[in-house]
Amino acid sequence: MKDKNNHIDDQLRESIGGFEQSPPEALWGSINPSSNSITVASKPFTGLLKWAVVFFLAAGISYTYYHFSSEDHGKQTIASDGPTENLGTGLRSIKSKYLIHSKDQVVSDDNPTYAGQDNLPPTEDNFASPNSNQKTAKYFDMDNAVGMPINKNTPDEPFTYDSKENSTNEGFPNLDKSLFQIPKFENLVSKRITYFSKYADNKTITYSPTINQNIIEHIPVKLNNKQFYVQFNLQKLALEKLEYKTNPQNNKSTELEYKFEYQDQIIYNKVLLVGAKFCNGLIVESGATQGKYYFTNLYKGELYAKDKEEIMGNHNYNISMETTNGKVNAKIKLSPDSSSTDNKDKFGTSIYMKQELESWGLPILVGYAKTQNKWDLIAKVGFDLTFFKQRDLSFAVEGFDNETYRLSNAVIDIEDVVSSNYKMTFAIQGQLGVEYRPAPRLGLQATIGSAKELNITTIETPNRSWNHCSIGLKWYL
Amino acid sequence: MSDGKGKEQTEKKILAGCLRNEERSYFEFYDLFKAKMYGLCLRYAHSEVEAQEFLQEGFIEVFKSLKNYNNTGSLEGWVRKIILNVALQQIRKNSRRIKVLPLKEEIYESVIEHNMSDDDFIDKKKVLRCIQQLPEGYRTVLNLYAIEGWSHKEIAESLSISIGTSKSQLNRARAYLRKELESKSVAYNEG
Repeated sequence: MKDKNNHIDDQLRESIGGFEQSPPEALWGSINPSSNSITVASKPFTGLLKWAVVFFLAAGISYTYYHFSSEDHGKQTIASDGPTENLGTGLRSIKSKYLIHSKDQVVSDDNPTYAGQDNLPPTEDNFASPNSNQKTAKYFDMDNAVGMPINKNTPDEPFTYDSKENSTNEGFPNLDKSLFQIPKFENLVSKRITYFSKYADNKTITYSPTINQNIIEHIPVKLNNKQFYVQFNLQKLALEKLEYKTNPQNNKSTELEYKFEYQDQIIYNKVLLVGAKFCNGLIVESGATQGKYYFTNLYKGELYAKDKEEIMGNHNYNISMETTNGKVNAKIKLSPDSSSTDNKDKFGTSIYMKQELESWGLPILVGYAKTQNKWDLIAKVGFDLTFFKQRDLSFAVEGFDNETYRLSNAVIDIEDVVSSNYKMTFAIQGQLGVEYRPAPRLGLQATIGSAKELNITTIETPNRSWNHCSIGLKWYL
Repeated sequence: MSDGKGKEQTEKKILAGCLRNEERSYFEFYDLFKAKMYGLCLRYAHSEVEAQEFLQEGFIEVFKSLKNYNNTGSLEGWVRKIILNVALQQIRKNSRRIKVLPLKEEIYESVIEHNMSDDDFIDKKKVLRCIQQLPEGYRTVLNLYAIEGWSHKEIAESLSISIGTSKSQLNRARAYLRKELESKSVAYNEG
């Protein structure tokens, strides 16, 4: 047999070992280095260029370090060429053209003017520390708050599941997507995937932020012979780009574009998650940066004016907004109550551009918050409960108070899905995601399977605030 | 001898031209080796289109690496090695596409004892077509073992498979090839 095989091999080698055939002539076009920018020869000055690059890199790093370590960092002023100047630096640079920076400012799309240029917006460094001694805003009159509708349309394709026969998701059922009455998260999920991709492999999400010692990040639970980890991720996302545009076609729709990137070293309550595209909508929010956030909104160009009273006890703020032809030209005047004796700067005021993600129902806020004479960039999302699994299943939002966008005792309950024994209950208590202080509480209960329970005790994070929380669940099959 | 020297001189001249970024020299270089290398690629590819991809990627890599050629050994051998590596790389990249199609045992048994005649190998294009029709894994192993003369250990390392797999792929490739050649011969004779 060996001989036979050798014979075949020999024959084969002899027959086609030296086989030659000319390739099609056209192929040369795609190979020719002259037309493919292929560098064949070493170029002169390459070494020099390399050192020049190293030099400039080193210089850049030194400058950046110096810049960020400077006490003046974050106190940029608007340049003489107007408010289109980028504010802040690095990832958190922000175009300020259409954002409102101080109480005296009048900003419009066409002619932004600035009555005062103090208290300029901000970088994350201006944010108050979670341990700073700032007051907390009192509750706003929720009954009078103007809310925005949450779109509860059934999504077309909220999740993708394999058919049961083909499912590789051992131990987990196939979910009937028609049972989900939740908004579409497609884009958000894709962002998440982008965000987590470098941590994820086929089966697990291994995102392990190091935020602070008060937060329990991983709770290992044995369940049905499978190892589960529930992880609580407090996300620290830096706003990289924030741009507010008005659609020149109709002057009606506006967009706030964003880009964010995970930043490992950012103190988590300073810069928050932005997760969506914005269009019309303006939010004015009053409250301290570390207090509860309550807001009313101007939505889709409707004129709205509201007086707020009894915020922080001694302050009245008159807030008026104007729009013209649906255009988000907002004139906002915040004036403290003349009877007030408190130092108004102790009280934080935030002005937000707001857009509810109509298809998602998530309130996303971006704007500035003023605290202690500083304007800080705020960007936050209400609450997102993200349940990761192999195929990035995500859901959230049910339970938002559609008047106030506070998450109050929200329950996300998915049970008895299809014919399986799959039951999952998430109960989120408190006002996670829309408050800074007092510390949020998260109670999570997940029941998976008919008799198997996964109980996670309430997690308290004293003196901490969560800007955004996602919950990931990973398992090993 | 003088032919060999002349060839060497030509290669050196072309190589020097390439290193001076002369387009003409690039083409001469390509022209010098294209037929042999395309033949090589055709053996590893399942189609002409794929062979052209291998050739294209391979030559791009060759041109990129020209400055590293240190004039030891034959230039052709050096080019061949790069192109083969590129082809294997591409095959590995597409490894999801590799399907080990187990030959049905009865077919395997029926062809395993079949004696191939030398005539079966006369028509090179026919043999090549048969090779191309082999499943990718079979084809690669058969090429590397039978034609390139690699050992199973080398094949296993290169393709990230076990030595046992390499051996079994080779055996099955031979059987498959026999079957293919046989059927082609029948068809040829009948035709």
